[in-house]
Amino acid sequence: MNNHSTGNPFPSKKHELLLKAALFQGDKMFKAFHEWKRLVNFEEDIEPVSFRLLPLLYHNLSRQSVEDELMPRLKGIYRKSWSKNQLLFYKTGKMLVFFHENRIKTLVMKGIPLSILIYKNYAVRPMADMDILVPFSQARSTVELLRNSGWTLHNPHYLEFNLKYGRSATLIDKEDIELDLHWHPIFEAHGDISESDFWDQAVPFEIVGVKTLSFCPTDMLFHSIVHGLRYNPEPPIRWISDALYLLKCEENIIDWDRIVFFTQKFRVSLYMKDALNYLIREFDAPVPAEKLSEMERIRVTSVDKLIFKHSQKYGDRQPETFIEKGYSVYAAYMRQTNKNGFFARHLGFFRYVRFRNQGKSFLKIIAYQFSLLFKKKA
Amino acid sequence: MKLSEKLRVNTPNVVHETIDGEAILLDLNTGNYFSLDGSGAVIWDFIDKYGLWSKAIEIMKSANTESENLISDSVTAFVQELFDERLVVAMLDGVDDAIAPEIEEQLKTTACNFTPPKVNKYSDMQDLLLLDPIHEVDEKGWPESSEIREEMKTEE
Repeated sequence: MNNHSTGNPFPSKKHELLLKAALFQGDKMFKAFHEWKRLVNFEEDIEPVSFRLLPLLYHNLSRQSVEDELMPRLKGIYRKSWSKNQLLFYKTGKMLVFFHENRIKTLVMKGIPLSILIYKNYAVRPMADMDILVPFSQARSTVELLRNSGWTLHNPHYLEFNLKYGRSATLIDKEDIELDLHWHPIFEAHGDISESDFWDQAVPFEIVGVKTLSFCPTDMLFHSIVHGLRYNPEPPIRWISDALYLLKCEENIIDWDRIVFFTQKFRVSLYMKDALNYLIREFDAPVPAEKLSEMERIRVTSVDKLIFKHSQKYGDRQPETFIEKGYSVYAAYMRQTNKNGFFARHLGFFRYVRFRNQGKSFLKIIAYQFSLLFKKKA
Repeated sequence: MKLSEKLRVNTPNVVHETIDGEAILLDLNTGNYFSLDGSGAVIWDFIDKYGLWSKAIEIMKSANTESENLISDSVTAFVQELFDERLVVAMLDGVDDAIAPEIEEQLKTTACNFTPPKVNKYSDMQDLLLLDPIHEVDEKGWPESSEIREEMKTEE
């Protein structure tokens, strides 16, 4: 099922050992840690994906009083992650105050609430940016407000397209602080998202004294899996530790009926089944068998299969060939549309491509792509 | 500035965490970064929990009567430095909590092998954040600049 190749959302052997060393207790942890050390040259082999797990590794080893030559350096990495995260939390707090002063409702997503509410530790989950969700109805005005306040929009020519078909925009300020502004939490089945989804069970959350909201643990788990299970040149395997912390956190009871409901609503049963089965198999994740069976019984269409296959093979990778580009655009459209029926869906696709290419006709786009192909060959 | 009797950590401007006997502190307003280890980390934790820093001196002196003056002078100077750096500020109200036996024990153990507490200050946060924590670190995991590494190589 999983080929564990580079970029795959499921970990390679080395990454899996590192995850186990960072998450397991006792003998299982020792075994994984020593095996990982045997396979990895710490001076040369630590790439960004592994690096991001090292603060969690240090935390787990230190809690279990492990003495090892690597501990001082791991401690330094932990310390650095703690400092960077603290600065990010501080900046996020300021950002939230700015939003609230302008009557924009906010919900902080992903790493920040996971760190504070679930990991309960400011260092173990290094982060590079802040992810803030605003209601869809406030998305445009929020982007305008930020642009008028000195923030630069990444890919401004895609703004209109993103507001109609996308889920977020990236903005950068003068100090190089990156903000991922979301108006939909996920990319899947936008047409089916109602304004209250995810917001309806949001929980109060405070960051550096500023009150905001965060997803409830159930929605965090759903989001971590759906968002994480995509091919990325830097394998996004952190979804595994996020999901396990959520699943094993005593006070966070996961509402499995809601998970099943969202899985069906957003047509992501292939993602959820693959992820949960993997977590059970490799990490003894506590997932109720009957809920997994309910997810197994959700009808999977050929479109669902196409989208899933694309996400595992290409995902967030930049397409290179004409065929890959076409496939990626088609899969991206199918991923977010809620149109049913072959004709309705494909009529929507032509509109989507036209809008994406700022009004150029479909034929013009095909001709342009062909011309690129010939130019390359020449 | 005159030291108050009871202090508290200057939150939310100052954030801190104690990791394996080392307290790390970050002043978010200035970007200054501090590290306290040994007796410094123990005293910091005591101030964070109880505020009454002179009580810490009292407990430590009771465990090491031979070094009474050294404990009193060096801890007072240490707390004064924390205060001057605005890492702690005067606590105006609050109740006096009973000191937990394990905290008292920790202070006494520290006093028996007493080394004066020290505030290590790193004023260039950017340098600290940009250094490579795998290769550019000393034996304690603190970032060490490439110039120092080069110097050490030359010496070798």
